[in-house]
Amino acid sequence: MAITGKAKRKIILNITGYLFIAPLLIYFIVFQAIPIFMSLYYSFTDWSIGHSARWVGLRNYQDLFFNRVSYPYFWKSLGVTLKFVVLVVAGTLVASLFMAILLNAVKRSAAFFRVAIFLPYVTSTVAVAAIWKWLYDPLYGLINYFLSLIIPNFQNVAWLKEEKYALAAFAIMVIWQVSGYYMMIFLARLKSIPEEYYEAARIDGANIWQSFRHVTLPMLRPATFYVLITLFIISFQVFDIVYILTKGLGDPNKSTLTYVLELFNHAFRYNEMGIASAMSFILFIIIAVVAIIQFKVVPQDVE
Amino acid sequence: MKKVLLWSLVLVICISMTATMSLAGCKKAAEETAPAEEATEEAAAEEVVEEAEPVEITYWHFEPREKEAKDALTQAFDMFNAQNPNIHAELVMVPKDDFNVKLQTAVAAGAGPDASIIDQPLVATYASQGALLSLDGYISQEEKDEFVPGALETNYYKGELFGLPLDFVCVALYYNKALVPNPPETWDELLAIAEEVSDPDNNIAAIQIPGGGYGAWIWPAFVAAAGGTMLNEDQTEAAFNNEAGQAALQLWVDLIELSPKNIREAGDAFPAGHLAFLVSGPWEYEGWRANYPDFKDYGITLIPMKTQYATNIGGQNLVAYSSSKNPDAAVELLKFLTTDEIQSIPKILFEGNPSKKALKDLYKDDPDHQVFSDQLQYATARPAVVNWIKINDEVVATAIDRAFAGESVKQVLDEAAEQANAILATEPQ
Repeated sequence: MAITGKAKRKIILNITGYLFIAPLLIYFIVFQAIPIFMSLYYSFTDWSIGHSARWVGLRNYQDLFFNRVSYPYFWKSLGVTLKFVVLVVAGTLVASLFMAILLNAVKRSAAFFRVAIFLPYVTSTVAVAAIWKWLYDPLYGLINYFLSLIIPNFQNVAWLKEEKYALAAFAIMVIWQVSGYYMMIFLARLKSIPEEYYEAARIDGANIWQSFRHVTLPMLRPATFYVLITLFIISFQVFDIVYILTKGLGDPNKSTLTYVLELFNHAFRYNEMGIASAMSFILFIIIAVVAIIQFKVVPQDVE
Repeated sequence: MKKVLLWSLVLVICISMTATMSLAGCKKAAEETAPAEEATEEAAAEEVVEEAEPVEITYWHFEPREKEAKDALTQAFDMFNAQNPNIHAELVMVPKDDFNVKLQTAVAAGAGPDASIIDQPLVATYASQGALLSLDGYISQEEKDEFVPGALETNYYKGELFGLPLDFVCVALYYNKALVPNPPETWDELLAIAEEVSDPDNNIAAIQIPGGGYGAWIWPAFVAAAGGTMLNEDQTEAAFNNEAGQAALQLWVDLIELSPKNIREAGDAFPAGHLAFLVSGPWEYEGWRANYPDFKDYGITLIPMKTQYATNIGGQNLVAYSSSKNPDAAVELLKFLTTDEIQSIPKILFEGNPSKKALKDLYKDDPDHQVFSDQLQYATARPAVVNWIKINDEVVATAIDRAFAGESVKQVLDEAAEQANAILATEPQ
């Protein structure tokens, strides 16, 4: 079999190419693809580490949906998470867009504010949790202190320990932590809106609100779309901050027991790996469905 | 063409896998040599006597936070190896946060240690999997009698002994001497003092008792103080909804009503003087010694009783694994680590209280510590069922939270018992 010089070179080139992608490819296969398919398999089995897996078909899924005795917090954790998603997505969207618009208008020390606002995003969650724990403290916390200055006869509140406030308190922490990042994305997009559009709007007699509504918002669509999708995913998967501040228990009275926290507990506290795998696939499907809906419904292009 | 590509890819994967394995091998070799180097001095003396090759066993322990504790452990292992020339025990220290996950996977993969320290409630889990070596044939009745009963009890699964208790914690009652000059001994006294001192207008709450899953770990102490148990004698059905359980939960609800959340949940409320009582473990005073060195105006006493003294129990046990090739040597090590001599080495115990009856007064010079040692004599073990953590977190915790929120104690406990029974029905037989 004769191989021409040209063909040989092509083969070598190809091999080189594959060699370059090999590290990532191997990493992906060994640490992501294989575990994902294995957990899909395990979601159809009754499996705890130490016992061999026993095929049970769809029973894990059935139990999660209908067995309120063995899995009393499946629906509750889903509800908690949905509330949390709504709070975080809405809060972050408004906060980051607002800050981006302010920063876009400010000319002086803009770099300082950009860094200051971005900083929480690169701060470790453990540190964020420790700071906010003290801010929320019922007797010594600054939040109660400021509220007592504004509101006469204000009764201190244990924000993280009251069922009606705890989840919102967590949402505020997360909004504070991630807004800086989304602010950057909005800001980058804002900077790219040509000044002429605003000029044209002004000539047409548009006021500030109208030019925001009809120029800024439509021009921001690609950024808004990205922000919505990623925010939805990260807030649906919230785990670490709740795990740190409630020691994994979702207190008070399970009002902060998020879906992924409950998933973690099933896997590593109650040793129910099959159930935990099933929960992770339900989560996957929920996120996929919502992402598809967002792709279809939310406008992505500037027209 | 395609074949060439495929083969080159396969080759790359093979190379990378070999590389990972040899890296792992290096790491393992490095781990093995490190303790060996430390032990060479003693080993030099030993080798002369030694004729047969010593059997190798591996033991996993939580990595202690302090250096003194690490040294104490290493010293204990040097002693063991010197006393037993036919055994070489290797000590592997694993950070506590990673310990359970690492142990779980290593045991499942058949690469676990011969013996290890283990969190109490996991004894039932591993025993139900057949992963633990039964110690019934190894430990005599006299040896068993040397241990504090509550501590030994945590090592049984279905009536069979699977471990030896190492060190223990329990909760006791802290009281603020400025508010409570004479500590209560009974529930009635506790409640009376609580009513007297509670003063929300001046930011004084009666007590801090946690709700939720953490509260569910403490609550059995009060159930036992009223003469009750969490499960029936066969550990097949819930018993915590009986009169003792109802009385215990009612006491908590009454106390909590005298302790507004916005005071008792403040950070460090007790050393700051906002609480009259606190139900907690020895870590509280240890923390205050470090962070509030001037705060001395507190006392610690036994949990008040309704019908008897009682407390809960937490801590560590020692187990050997059924996969061990040298079970005799592994058990020998467990016995050695629980001798009075080793348990008295300062700092060697992870949480501080020895499990041996003979060492009851080890901390005479430290009254704070001694109270916990005294309290431990009245400890009752958690039920030895595989699903206990789940019942604790998802059933008992909820009952406590609902009662705190104002629901009827009897009703929440009856519902919890029903749910616990359904979970208990799924226990491995």
